[in-house]
Amino acid sequence: MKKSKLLTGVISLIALTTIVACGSTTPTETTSSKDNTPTVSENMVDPKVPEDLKSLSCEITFWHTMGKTNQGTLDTLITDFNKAYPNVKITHSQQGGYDDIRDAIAKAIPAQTTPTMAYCYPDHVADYIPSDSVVKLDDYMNSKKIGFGVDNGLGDNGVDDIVATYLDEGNHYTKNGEAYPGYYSLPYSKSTEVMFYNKTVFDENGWSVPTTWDQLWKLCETIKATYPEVTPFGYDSDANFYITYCEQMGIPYTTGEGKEHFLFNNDQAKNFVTKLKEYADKGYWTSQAILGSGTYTSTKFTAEELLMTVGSTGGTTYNYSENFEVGVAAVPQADLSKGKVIMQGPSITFFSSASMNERIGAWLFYKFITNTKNSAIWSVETGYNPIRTSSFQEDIYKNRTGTGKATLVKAVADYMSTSDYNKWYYTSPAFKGSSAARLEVGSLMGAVMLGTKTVDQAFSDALANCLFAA
Amino acid sequence: MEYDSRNFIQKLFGMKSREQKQAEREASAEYQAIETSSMTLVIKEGHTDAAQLARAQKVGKIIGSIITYGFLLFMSVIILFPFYWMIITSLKSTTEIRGNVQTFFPVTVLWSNYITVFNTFDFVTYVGNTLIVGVISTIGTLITTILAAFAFARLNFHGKDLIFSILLATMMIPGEMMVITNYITVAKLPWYEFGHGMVNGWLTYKDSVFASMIVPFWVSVFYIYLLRQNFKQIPNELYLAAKVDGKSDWQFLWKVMVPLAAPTLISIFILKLMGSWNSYVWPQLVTAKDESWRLVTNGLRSSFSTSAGEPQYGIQMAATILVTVPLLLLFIFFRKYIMKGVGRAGIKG
Amino acid sequence: MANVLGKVKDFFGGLFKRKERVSADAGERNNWKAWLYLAPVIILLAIFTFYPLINTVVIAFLKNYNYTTGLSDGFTFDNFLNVLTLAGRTTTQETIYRWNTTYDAVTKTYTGIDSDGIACTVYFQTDVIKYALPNTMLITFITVPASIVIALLISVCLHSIKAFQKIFQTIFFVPYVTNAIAVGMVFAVLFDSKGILNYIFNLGDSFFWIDRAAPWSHGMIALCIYIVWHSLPYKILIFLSALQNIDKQYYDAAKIDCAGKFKTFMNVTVPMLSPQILYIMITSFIGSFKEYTSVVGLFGSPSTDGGSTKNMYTIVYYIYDCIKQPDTVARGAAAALLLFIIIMIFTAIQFQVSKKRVHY
Repeated sequence: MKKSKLLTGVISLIALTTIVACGSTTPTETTSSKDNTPTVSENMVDPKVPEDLKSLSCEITFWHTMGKTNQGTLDTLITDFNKAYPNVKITHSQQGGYDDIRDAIAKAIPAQTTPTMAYCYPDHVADYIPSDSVVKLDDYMNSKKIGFGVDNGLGDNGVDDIVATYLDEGNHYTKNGEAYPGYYSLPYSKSTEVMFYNKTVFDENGWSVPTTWDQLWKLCETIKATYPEVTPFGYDSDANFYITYCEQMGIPYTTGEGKEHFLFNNDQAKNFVTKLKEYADKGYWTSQAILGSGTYTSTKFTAEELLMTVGSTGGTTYNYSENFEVGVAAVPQADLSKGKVIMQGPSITFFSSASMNERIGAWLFYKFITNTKNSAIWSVETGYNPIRTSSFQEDIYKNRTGTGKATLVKAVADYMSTSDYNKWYYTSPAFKGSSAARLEVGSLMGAVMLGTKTVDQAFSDALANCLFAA
Repeated sequence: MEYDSRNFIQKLFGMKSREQKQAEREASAEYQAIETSSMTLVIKEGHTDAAQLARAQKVGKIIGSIITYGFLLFMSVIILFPFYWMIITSLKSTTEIRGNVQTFFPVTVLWSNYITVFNTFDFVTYVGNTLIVGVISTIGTLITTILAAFAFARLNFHGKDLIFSILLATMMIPGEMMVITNYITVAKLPWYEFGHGMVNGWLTYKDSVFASMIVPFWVSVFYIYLLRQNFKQIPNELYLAAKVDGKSDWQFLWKVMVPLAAPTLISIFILKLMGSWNSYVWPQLVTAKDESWRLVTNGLRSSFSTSAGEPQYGIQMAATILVTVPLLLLFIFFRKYIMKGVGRAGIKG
Repeated sequence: MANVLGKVKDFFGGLFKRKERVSADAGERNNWKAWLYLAPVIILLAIFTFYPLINTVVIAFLKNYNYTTGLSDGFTFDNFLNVLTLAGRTTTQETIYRWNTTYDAVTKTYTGIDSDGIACTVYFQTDVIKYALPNTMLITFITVPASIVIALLISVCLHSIKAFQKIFQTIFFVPYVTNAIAVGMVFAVLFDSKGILNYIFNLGDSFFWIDRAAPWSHGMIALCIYIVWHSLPYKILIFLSALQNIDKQYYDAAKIDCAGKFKTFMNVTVPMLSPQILYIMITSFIGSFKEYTSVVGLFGSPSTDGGSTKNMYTIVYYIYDCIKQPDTVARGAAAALLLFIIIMIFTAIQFQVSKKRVHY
C-alpha cells in the first residue's frame, strides 16, 4: 500500500517534470545560421544618428577587468568625455579576470543583460558571435557623421594611425567554420613581449644582447660556463614561447577556417620542442611551468637567478630591481627580416542588446578614450602600449619622467616608440577552441620540459584535449 | 562476543591463549622446582593497600591528562599552523614569500598589504551590503525553515515522506549546475522598483539586485533537516497539553516550539550569516552592473585577481584575514549557542 | 532510480511511522494546513531549485546545446557517452591519422579505427574516467573516515578535560570560518618544494607535492591532508555537543563494571554517538563527492603540472569546467546527473547499513 503510493508520487513527479520541461524549457530547433549581415552597402548607422548629437542622452555600462588604479584613470576620462556629452551616463564595473568577464557575459547573453561595451579577447568574441550578440562595427567606423576621423568634439581620432595589426585583430572572426567578415572588436589596452636583461652583468662581461635564437643559445652556453649557478634565460609564458616561435619559423599552429582548426601536431613543432627540452636539461632556460607553483620568471630575474627574461610589457614593473640595471631588448627572432612578436591585451566589443542611442554613445566614448591624447595618457598611466602611433609624439608620452619602477616603464615606452617593434606584431586566429589550443600548447611545453611526457605523447594529448574541448 | 573475537585473532596470528601459557609455565622445570613448603602467606586487602591504590590512581590520572593535553596541544598546532602562516604571510613582501628561504617571522613586517586591500575595495560599503543581504536572507530562511520543519515534525499529510525525501535529494546536486538557469530566471522576473514602477528583471536597480541575492536563498534544506530533528525532540505531551488548552497549531509553534528551539535557531542564524559572508559566485554575477552593490568576498577576490603579473600572496592573505576575523569574533561570542544548536543535529527523535 | 529514492524514503519513512503512531492520537490528518506551512518552501524551491534541475535534466539530453543561443540539435545520449565512456570524433585531418598510429596498446589509452588512410575516428579515454571519478572516490573514502576518527578522538579528549576547554574549542573551530580557496593558497605555500614542510621533514627542495608535475600520489596526499584539516571543525563541534548531552549514568555504569577507557569509548561513547556519526557520515559523503574548491585553492588548476594532465580533477571540478563554456554545458549537465545518481546510491547504502548499527 505504502509502496504503491510512493510509486504514484514518483510517477506524478516525473509526469509533472515532463510537462514543465516541454512547456517551458529550451526550444529544440536545429541550429540555423541566421544571416544577419546586411547585403546592402549603404551605411546603416548614419540615418540613425540624432541631429543634435551633443545632447545625446543614454546610459552606458562598460564591463572590464581593470584594477583600482586603472579605474581611476578611466574615471578621469569619463569626466572629460561628459564635458562634451553631458547626457551620456557611463557606469563601469570590474568583473574579475579575463575568464570571469567571459563567463559573466556568456551568462548575460541568454539573460539579455549584456553591457553596452566590454573588455574582450578575440576568443571571447568568437564565443559571443554564434548568438549574434555583438555589434558589427564597420558602419560605425565608416559613418560620415560619427565615423573614425569625424571630430564630434572628441579630439584626433583618425583611423590611419591606429597600428594596423591592432585593428586587424578585430576583423578575423569565423562562424561555424566560415569567415565572418566585419569588425566585431576594436583595440584598447595592448601589450606585447620584450626581453629584459641584466645590463650590469652583461656590461661587466662585455656580452652583447642576442637578437636571434642562435645567438641566444650560444650566449647561454657562455653564461652557463661563467656562472654555473644561474639560469641564463627565462620565458615567462610557455604558450607564448611556443606560439611565437612557431610564428617566427612559419610552423603551422592553428587556423580559423575550415573544420580542422588544430595544426600544431607536426614534425617541425616536435623537433623544436625536442631541441628546447635539450636546452632546458642543460639549464639554459626556464619558464613559469618549469619553475612551478605560479612563480614568474620576473621574480627569478629580479632575484638575479636569471639574466634574461621575456615577459609582457604589461608587467614591466615586476622586472625592475634596484640592485642592478635592467636593459630592454627585442624578443629573439628566427629571422630578423621577418620579425614576429606576440600582441596581447584586451580589446573592446559592443553588444547588440543595447539600443541605437546607447550604441552611438558607446561608440563616441570609444573614439574619445582612444584619441591620440588619451591613448598617450592611458599608456603612461597603465603601462600598456598606445594604440596609435601618433601618441608617441604626444608630450605627455615623450616627456614622462619617473623614478624607480617608472624608469623601466619609460625605457620600455622609449623602446616601443623608437623601434619598428609594432610592425612585428602578429595575432593568432580566434575561433571556438582557440583558447583551448593556447592552453594546451602551453601545458605540453611544461609536460615535456618537466619530463612527465614524451614529445609524441605530449603532442597527442594536447591535440586530443583540443578536439574534445572544441 | 568479545571473547570470540579474541579467539579469532589468536588463531589468526597463531597466538597462545592465557590457559595455554599457564600450562606451559607449569610444565617448565623452574616451576616444578619451586618450594611451596617454605612459603609464607601475607594477607592484604585486594592487590594493594588503600594508600597505594589512591596513589596509583592519581599517577594514572596525571599521566592520562598529560597524554590528553599533549594530544590536544599537538592537534592545535596542526590546526593553527596554516592560520599562523596566513598571518605572517600577510605581513611579508612577495619577494620574501617566494624566496628560497622560508622564514617563521617576516624579515620586515609589511603593513602595507592591509592598506592595499583597503584601497582595492570599499570595505565599509561591502560589509554594509553583506550585512543587509545576510540578515534579510537569514530572517527569511528562519521563517521558511520554522514553518517547514513544523510541518515535517508535527503534522500528518499525504506525501510527507515523498516530499521530505525529495528535499533531501536536492542536497545531492552540485549547486553550480543551477547558476545559469537561475540567472536567466532572475533576469526575467518582474519587480516593483520605487521611482521606476514595474520593471522586468531583478538585475537593473539596486533594490532588485539585493533581492536577487536574498530571495533565492530563503530556503535551506539543510537547516530544515536540522530544525526538524530539533522539533521532534520536543515531547509530544506538550503538544497534547497545548491542544487541551485550546491552542492552535500556529500558536503552539510560535509560543512553545520556537522558544524551545532557540539555540538551534540562533546557530542557524549565525551559520547562515557565515554563508552569506562567504558567498561569491552568485553575488559577483548579479551585481555585474555596479561594483558598489557587491559583497565582501567579491571585494576580497578582486584583490586576488591582478590582470597582469605576479599573484600578490601577501595582499591575498591580508584580504583573507580581514574577512575571517569578523566571523571568528562572531563564533567566539556565540560559541555557546552554536555548540548547543548544532550539536542536536543527527539526533533522531 | 525510483528504487534508490524508495530506499532513502524507507529509512525516513521508518522514522515517520513511529511518529505517526504517536501523533495519530493527537488528531486527524492536516492536509491543507500542512501544505500551507510548506507553501513558502515549495514555491521557492520550485522556482530556484526544481526548475533549474529540470532544465539540467533536459539539457543533459540535448545534442550540441549552446546556452548563449539556446539552440540544439535535438535528443541524444551522446553527452552521457562523452562523460562516461570513450569520446569519439571523426576527423579528416592527416595529422590525426599520424597521431593515431602512435596508439599505446599497453595502457589502452587510445584506440584508432582508420578507414581509408585519410578519414578516421579517434577515441580517447575521458578525464572523468581517468581522473575525476577515481579521485573523487579516493578523496571520499580516505578523508571521510580519517576525519571522523580524528574528530572523535579530539572531541573525547576535549570532553574529558576541564582546564582550557573553551580555548581549545575555539582553536579547533578556527578552520571553519576560513575561506576554502584562501586557505588552500596557504597550504600551497606550505606544500611548496621550498616551503616549510619540506624544510621540517628534510625532504630537500626537489621533492614536489603539488606543482612541477608532482606525482599523482603526492598531490592526492596533500589534497587529502588539506580536506581533513578543513573538515575537522564542524565534526568536532557536532561530536562535542553530543558528548555533552550523553547521560552521565552510562559512564557511571561503565565505571562500576571496571571498564577501561578504551572499552568505555567503544561500548558507551561510540554507540551513544552513533546518530551523530551517521549524520556526519552522510553529510560528509555528500560533501566530499562534491569537492572542488579545495582543489582550486591548493592547485589553482585541476593538475599538478599546470594543466597538461588533469590528474587532480574531481567530478564537480569537471562539471564546473564544462558549464563555463556555452557549448559544453550539456556535458556538464550529464555529469551532474550521473553524480546525483552516484550520491543517491551511496546514501541509500549508508542508510541500509546503518539501520542495524545506529542506536537511537
